[in-house]
Amino acid sequence: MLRFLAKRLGFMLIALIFVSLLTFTLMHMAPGSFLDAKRISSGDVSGDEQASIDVIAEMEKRYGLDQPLWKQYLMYMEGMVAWNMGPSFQFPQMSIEEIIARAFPVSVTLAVLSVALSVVIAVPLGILAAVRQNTWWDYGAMFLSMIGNSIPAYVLAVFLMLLFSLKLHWLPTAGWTEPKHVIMPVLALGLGSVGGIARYMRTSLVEALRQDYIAAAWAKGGTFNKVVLGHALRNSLIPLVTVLGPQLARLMVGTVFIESMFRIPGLGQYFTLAANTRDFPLLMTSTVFFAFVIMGMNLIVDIAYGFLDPRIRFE
Amino acid sequence: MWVRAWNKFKRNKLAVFGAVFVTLLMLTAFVGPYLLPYGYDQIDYTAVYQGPSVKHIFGADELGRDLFSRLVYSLRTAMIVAFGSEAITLVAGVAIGAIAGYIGGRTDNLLMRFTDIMFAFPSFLFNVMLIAVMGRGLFTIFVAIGLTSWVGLARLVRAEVLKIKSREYVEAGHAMGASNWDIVTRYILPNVTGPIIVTMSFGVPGAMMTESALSLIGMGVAPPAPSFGALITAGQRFVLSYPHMLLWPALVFAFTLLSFTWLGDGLRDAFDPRDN
Amino acid sequence: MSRRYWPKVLATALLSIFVLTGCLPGQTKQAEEPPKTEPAAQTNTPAGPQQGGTFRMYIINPTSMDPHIYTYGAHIHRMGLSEGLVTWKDSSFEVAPASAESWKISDDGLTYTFKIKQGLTWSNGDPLNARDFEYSLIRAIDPKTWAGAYASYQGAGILNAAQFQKGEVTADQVGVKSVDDYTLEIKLEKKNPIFLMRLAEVWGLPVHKATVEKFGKDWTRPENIVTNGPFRLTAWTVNSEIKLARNENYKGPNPAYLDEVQLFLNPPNILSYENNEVDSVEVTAADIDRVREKMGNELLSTTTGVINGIWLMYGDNQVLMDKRVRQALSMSVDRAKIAKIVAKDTVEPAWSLFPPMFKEWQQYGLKYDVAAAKKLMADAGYPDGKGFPEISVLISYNIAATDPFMVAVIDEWKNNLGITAKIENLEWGNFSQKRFAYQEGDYAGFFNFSWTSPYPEAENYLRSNWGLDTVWANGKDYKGYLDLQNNKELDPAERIKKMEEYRLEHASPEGQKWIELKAKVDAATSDAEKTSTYQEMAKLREETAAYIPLTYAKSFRLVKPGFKGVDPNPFLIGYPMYFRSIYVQK
Repeated sequence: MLRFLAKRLGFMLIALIFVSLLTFTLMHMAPGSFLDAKRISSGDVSGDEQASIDVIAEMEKRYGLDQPLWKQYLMYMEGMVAWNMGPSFQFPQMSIEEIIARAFPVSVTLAVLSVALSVVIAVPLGILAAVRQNTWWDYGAMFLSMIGNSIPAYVLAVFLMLLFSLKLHWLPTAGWTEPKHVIMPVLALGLGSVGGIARYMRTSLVEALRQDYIAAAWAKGGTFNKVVLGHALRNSLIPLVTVLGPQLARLMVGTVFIESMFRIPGLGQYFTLAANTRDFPLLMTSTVFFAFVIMGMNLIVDIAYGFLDPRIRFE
Repeated sequence: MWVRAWNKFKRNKLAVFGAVFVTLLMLTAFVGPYLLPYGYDQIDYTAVYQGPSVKHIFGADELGRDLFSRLVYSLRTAMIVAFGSEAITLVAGVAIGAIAGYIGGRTDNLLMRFTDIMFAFPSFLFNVMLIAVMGRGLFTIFVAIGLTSWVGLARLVRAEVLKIKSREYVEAGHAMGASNWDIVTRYILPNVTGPIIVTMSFGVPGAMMTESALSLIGMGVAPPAPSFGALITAGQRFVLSYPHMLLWPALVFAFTLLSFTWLGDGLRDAFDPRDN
Repeated sequence: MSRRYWPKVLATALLSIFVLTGCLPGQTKQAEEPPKTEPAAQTNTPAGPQQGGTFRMYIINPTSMDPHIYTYGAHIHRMGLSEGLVTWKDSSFEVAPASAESWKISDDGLTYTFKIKQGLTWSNGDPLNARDFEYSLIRAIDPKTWAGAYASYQGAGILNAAQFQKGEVTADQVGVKSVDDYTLEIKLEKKNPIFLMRLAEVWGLPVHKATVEKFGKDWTRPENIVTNGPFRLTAWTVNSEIKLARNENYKGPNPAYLDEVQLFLNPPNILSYENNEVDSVEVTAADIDRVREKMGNELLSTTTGVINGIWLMYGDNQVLMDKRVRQALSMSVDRAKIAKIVAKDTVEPAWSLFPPMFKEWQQYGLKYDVAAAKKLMADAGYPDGKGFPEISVLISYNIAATDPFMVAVIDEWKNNLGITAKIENLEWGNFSQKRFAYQEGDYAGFFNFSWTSPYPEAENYLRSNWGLDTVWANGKDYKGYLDLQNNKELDPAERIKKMEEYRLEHASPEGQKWIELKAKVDAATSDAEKTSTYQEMAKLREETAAYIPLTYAKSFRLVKPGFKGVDPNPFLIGYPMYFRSIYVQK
């Protein structure tokens, strides 16, 4: 187990370095610079020439952009390791570690709730489809879940707003101050993954129901509750972890449309802003951080899977 | 294998529907533009913001451009993006997966570690950065999507190749002196085609989804060129006053995705070796 | 093991969901109530409007809340959190007293002496005095702070400000001095008739020295910030919302009526207005017809200073270097038709680079005249567009003009001149680079721009933008200019000088004339001479058609009935001049 962990963590480190190098290269290849973008967005298109040349020189010095590239890269890496990354270009008064510390919990909340919602809907749907395999129940459940899968979250979000805010006046359109603000974004994000999870649930339950021990359990006069919900379901829920983990990670790092539509102060918005405005420090850190979250989640899933399924041994 | 898969596929009504719809959509996308009465950029100031009518069956937008025509062209854009990116995925995924699986050893190790790293790279962010580097255009978008979506396929192909390689008839072929090329083309590729087709058929709606998502942050296929993402993004602004401008694009888009999902689902069941 | 495990997992999951929803992460702490002194507001409130109420609206997402960093946060300070020496009375931009109760201008117009009102306090109760202003006005240009408001400050002409920014002189040589606790003296380099109006801009706002020094970059957090305006900052959730409350310690002449202002950070959403979540929202062409019909009485419309148009790019291809071609391109576009049909009159057709508030300056613009445009094209060698290559128009997602308007413009060119053009819709960074890059090969075209002056001064529309000195005689000359501009070997001052010389040498005839006229303005001895020279420049610029105006933005604002005193800022679409003027009518 320890060896397994050490190996995985070592690989993670190498992967993170690779991701950071790739990001660094890409962002320096991209045309345009923060200062250019800043100049247009503040309406200062041609502005005062002397002033802009001075400002740019000053800014470059402040952010170390006048240093050779390898030095800049090491600077970012050093900052990340020490968890002291300095201010972003875009948010000059906020350090990047602070941005992450504030925004990441928001994204996690959103992700956890959305996944929880999809599980709550998808698991019963999957059970229904598996138990009543090849009946209209099955087709109906699978049909519904696939429809949910085919409507992008940002379209669903608009329709939810029209329904709950405009027609029914039940919910505010956007915000992140009261618990009721959570409902629509979670619905918009959660319903989308119902299809996949339900489908997975159905397949693994169908397989579990075919096992010999299930037949034995029926033969011994087991009830539906005992056989299906007790034995088969338990074993078919375990592989679900492998689907939910990556799903959770994906939602944690970026739900940018839902975040901006519902004014949720999560991480996704920062990344898009950073990419658009060429905010190098923020772009660099967020990509590496996102990769870290995804890999960390995969590791957790693997470990959890090992604990849940005694057949699996860590090598 | 093919006969059995086909028989199973035929029995799955939803899958057959999916296949029929996908064929129709593809015909619409590639032949439709030549039959349309209006171009996607044809301005008609008398029809600005009009809802559905005989003249414009899905209505018109803020320039009086025919929404139906724009959707047909969007469909074509979506197909180009999807198939273009899938082609890249196919080449990269199969090549990397097959080489890693077949040669094994250090090559396998190296390629798979690379794949693992790419798997950890947040793909949407990667797309955004690639487009920032390459600019916004039909070509760059499918290249970006293709470059970020081969990982799953590579892993799958490798696993299949490993499985098949250890089968007796392949080993027998080796013993009888068949070349590597023979073995790969004669035994291995035909056997991995099923799983590849399944993955690809799910990749198509995935790529379409990604394109539309990129449009929302100003990085998708650039308007005024029509694409689902652009039409939906625009439609969202108009939804309160001119709901047809969101409704039709959203419906057609969802239907397109759904058709591909049905087809993919049917294919998966058909190629699934587990249940008969 | 697993049988006992699952209920626990479920319970933990449910519990965490419950805890999480009960208290959402990401919210900022609310600021503590400051120690209240006596209720100053009662004595200040005039008989008419009453205190009370909450006003909710959208604002562009500010990325900083420091008044000396140019973001929308600085504007939130100007609109309510902070108050400078002087303020604008309302959208007339008339100068009115704020922290300074009176001022004297020396006879040569170079020395301004401000008397600061006694008894003013910061939101924490500290007294406000002249030294606070001295500190703040220097901080705003200190190269060691984040130099955001730089260019705008420099134009005001405070003595030695520019030199200080460049590090040539020390802070104490800058022309800002506190004479005693309540007297501040500002010296200018040269006479500036609009200095007082400029002083009401964001860079003239004071910051609380002790707080800034104690907390560093964290000083703007709601729990730390100390300001002197009629409102104070109580909450800031980045990318989501901002809350202001009335500052009970405010004792100045411009008190607030509202108890609270809630600012939702973009994107605006008219649905939230209809759902009664905000009290005011900007309306776009998408909704204007329905709003006019359904809520016309709640709609406030104003003209603005925002101009949208296209800007010539330079490179190998010389097809657009012919003035006649550019004039024809401008004259063949029926902006009125497009504005009416496509934009539903949410914009006004623009034929001049001066916005509607400067009517007398607009006379030099070109006119819609297809026949003349066709003739110009024929004269230039492209009768009916024959032989004319396809040109490009660069646009970006982030610029105000949406692509449909540009599609309509291109359609006009096609129908009226028989030429083709294509739209290149670029990602932001690509756009920001390509528009000023040297265009290689056959490429020729324009990029889309949108600009507004921050204050109503006609000359600012002449001097700060769209100068003809960079309209080259030959597009290829631009390369040498860019090389100079990007030459990091040269020191900035040297570079500027070389660039100036280069312009003098390579500018088009119109550019040469422009440089000459600019010098004439600087040397002018009378206002009349200055004005007439400016007029000459305006005429020259419109005829050169290197910058082609297309539309003036208009602002359409829905305000819930019951709210009065919403005074839209014509230079900042979607924002009131000040929050202080807004009140609830019972």
